[in-house]
This record gives sequence, C-alpha cells and structure tokens, in this order.
Amino acid sequence: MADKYIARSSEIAARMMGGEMMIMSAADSTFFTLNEVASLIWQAADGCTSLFEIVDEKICPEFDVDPDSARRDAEQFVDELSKHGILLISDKPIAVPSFPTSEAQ
Amino acid sequence: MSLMAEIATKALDLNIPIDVHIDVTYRCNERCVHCYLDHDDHGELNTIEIKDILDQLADAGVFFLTFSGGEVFMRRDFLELVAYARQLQFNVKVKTNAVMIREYEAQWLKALGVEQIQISVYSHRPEIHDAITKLPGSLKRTIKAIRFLKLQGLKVTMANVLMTANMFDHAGVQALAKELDVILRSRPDNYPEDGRGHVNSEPAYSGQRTSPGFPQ
Repeated sequence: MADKYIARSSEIAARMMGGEMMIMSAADSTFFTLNEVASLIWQAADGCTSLFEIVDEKICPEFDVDPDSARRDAEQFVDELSKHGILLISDKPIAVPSFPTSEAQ
Repeated sequence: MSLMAEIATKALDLNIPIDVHIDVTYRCNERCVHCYLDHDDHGELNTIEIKDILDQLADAGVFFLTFSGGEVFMRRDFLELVAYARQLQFNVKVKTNAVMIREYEAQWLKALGVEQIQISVYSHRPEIHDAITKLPGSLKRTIKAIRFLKLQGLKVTMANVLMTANMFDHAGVQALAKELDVILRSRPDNYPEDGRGHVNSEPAYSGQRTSPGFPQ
C-alpha cells in the first residue's frame, strides 16, 4: 500500500445529518451518505494530510480497528469516491483551489 | 424506500429543515398576469443579511436551497449570494425567467456548481408568452438564455404554468422543450393565494384554475 493525499472536490454539495455526511455531486447528481468513519475521513480530506495519517490519527484512536485493515478499507473508500469526482487523490499534497467568486459585484 | 425518501424521513425525525426556498427579492422585470407578487417596493434584505441567513440555514442542517424571487438577477449581488451558498456546500437550485442571463451569467452558474435552473416559459409563441409576461421580446431572450445554459452543460427545467391564456399551447411548449433538450414541468395547480394572487386570478384563469386531464 502506498500513502496518498486526498482533498474534497468543490463541485459537490455536502451536509452532516444525524452523524452521517450527505454528499451530492454537482456533475452527475450522484448522492452518497457516509457513515461515521467515512465522514471523519471526508472531513479530514484537506489535501495536505495523507490518508494514512488520517486513518492513524483520526480513525484508529476513535474506533477499535486494526490499522492495516483500516488503511485498506480507507483506500477502497477514497478510490470509490474519486471515481465519482467528489474526492481528489494524488501522491503529492493537493493545493485545494479557492472557490470562484463573482466579479459582478 | 428510495434513498431520497429515507433522507427526507430522517430529516423530519431530526427536525431538520432539509429543503429551503428563499425569495431574495420582490423586484421583477416581468409583470406576469398570474403572478401573486405585487412588485411594490417592500424593501429587501441586503447582501450581508442574506449571507447571515445562509449561515443560519447551513447550521440548521439545510441541504437543498432554492433561490427565487421576484427575478433573482434583478439583484446585482445575486452571483455573490450563489457563490456564498456554494461555499457553504448547499445543493443550489435557481428559479428565474432567464431574461437577464447571458453567456457570462451562464458560465458563472456552471462554475459555481449550481444543480439546476428552473425557467418559466408560458408558450412557444412570442405573442402569447410576451402577453403573459408583459415584457416584449421576453420569450426570445429566455430561449437564448436557455441555449447559453445548455451550452455550459447545466441542467435546465422549463416550468410551464397552465392557464386560460396558454391552454392551447401545451403541445408547442412540449416540442420546444424537446428541441432545447430541457425537462418540462407543467403545473395546473401552482397558484398561491398570497399577495395579489386572489386579485389577478379572475382575468388569468376565467374561473378555470385547473384543467383536469391536461396532458403532462
């Protein structure tokens, strides 16, 4: 397993509800709900913290899980979300683009 | 139960207002005969006040946010409000007559990740549509805007309010929607009694507020 960096796409809508994160892709309207563990990974996906750091520092201390198993599950999870374009993955830190703001004001 | 139905049920159980419609202005560039707004100057919230409300809505757990009016593009800060809403990660829909949408506005709506644009079209014939909106040239400008939005790959819905004045035009509107590749929603029952809704219903509908069996 190789470590990677993850960042949330700006082309999504997201909101936490009852401990679960709801996410909708603006591109294809695909709708996801993330459980508590997945929501933690999603919220920590800032582009500069690696996936394994997130798993080791946020997931393992919070939940009673084997680190290797947690890393494998996390990789599978982020790969799935990246296929829908709602999570960006890179082997280097990701500069999160600033949100476009209107010039019309 | 569908995923969306599950979400709605969960939101109800948690007392979360998951879907909010916000009218950001009374002002409009059209004077539709059936409109329930009087278009008088009632004042409106400024940019900072609306952003504060959006903050509160996000904190309350709102996920789906629809901007409407009046005509939303009558506000010079409208794109700024959309940008702010998207920063707060709302799923944003916009209701508009699209008369003021050009390539620039369409590009921004796409860049800001707006989910859907709903546009009012009353007839495929300018003489009927423009007579309803009381704005000469409005159908031509609205159709041009729809093409700009579609070029950007945005999801566009055409809202067709059915009334006496356009009762023979539904097939033509269906054909126009097909040509423009947009979803058509026809509503024979969308007549709020707010504002001047009770005053202007008589000339618009001739007492026929709905048309049972009207083709959808």
